[in-house]
Amino acid sequence: MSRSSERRITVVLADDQDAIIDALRRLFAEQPDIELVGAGRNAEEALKLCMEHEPDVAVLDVRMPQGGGAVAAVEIKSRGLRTRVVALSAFDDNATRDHMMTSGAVSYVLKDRPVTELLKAIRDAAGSASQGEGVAS
Amino acid sequence: MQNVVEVEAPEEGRRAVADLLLDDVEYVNAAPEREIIGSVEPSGEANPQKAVGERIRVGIVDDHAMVAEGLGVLLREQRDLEIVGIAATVAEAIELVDRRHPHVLLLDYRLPDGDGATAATEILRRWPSTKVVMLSAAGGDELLARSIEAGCSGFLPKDRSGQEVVSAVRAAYRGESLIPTTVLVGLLDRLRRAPQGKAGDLTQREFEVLRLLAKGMSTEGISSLLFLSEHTVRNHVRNILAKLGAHSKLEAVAVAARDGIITLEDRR
Repeated sequence: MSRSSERRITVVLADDQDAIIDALRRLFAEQPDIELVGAGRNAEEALKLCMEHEPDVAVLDVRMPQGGGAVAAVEIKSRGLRTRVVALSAFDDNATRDHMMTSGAVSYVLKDRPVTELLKAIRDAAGSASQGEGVAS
Repeated sequence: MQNVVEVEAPEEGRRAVADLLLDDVEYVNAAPEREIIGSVEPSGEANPQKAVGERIRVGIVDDHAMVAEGLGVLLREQRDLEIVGIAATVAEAIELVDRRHPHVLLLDYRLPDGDGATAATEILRRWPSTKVVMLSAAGGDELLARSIEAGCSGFLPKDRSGQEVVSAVRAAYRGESLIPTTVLVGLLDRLRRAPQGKAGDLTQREFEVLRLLAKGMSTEGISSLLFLSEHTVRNHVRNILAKLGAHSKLEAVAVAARDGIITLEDRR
């Protein structure tokens, strides 16, 4: 999939598990079109990073101490950030999924799926973000 | 979930663990599929047990594919390591070890079809020379104790860094036990409440070996320091385990610290 510009997709990541952050940091680093601009461990840190960087995409763990991904997703939306939220979850149940989607996530990716699914979700979300803004540069 | 702790392992399991710890070279015969690659030098410390150019075969078990893949990226960057397989369940982990004979298995504690300690026990029963390093998202003394009783060579808690994982793989391969001190302190508390082993009766030499084990030294390190053959060191270790009622070198150190035979601050 070729993007219309050379600009990379900026991503903020939040997960309370260092192992996940560590793994994704490495996996993102291998993607020429994705740039991780910040990583946090709870909703508050995620929001702070999103306010600071206004990334294309925020990948948010659904359950974190001091507020999970849903809390951050609602805040991101209510502050008018153009950041699209991709939910990252260890829980394959409808209640959690619905909660994230109604909180503003554009997709819901399970941690037991190959990382290619997350990468696709990030690229799709970034695509919809630039379309939504009408920015093609 | 699994809060039942078996302080006494079955005698058979105990022997398997002791064999694992006492016979560090056995794995060489247990890995028929070892691949020799050109002139690649292992990074890090030299390992006299490893043929020149041989890479450490590593298996990864984690039900979170993303974590497993991330570990894969990290380990592939290391020229002395080779990933021989990735598994997501206890059943797959056992099959992975049966088929690919990794030297070191990185094993997530929480798996969909069982826990890591159960998996490690079964794997070590089948392939006693495998070095199992437990990876855990949620720490806890209970879990650590079960991992050690299962015969694991190392334990990495939630806040591990990538470099710690790499170091743990290399250390496990060398036959060393790698457990962060912070984790060990919690284990000591737990052991204080557990039934006592038969402490004491250690000879001066055994005491000396025990103290070096507590510093994290390997069998070969101790043998060269004390001018003893590795065989003799293993005999001393065997006696130490028996006298302390421990299943592993690591547990021996913990028991000895609990009983005041050694102190963990002992840095002399």
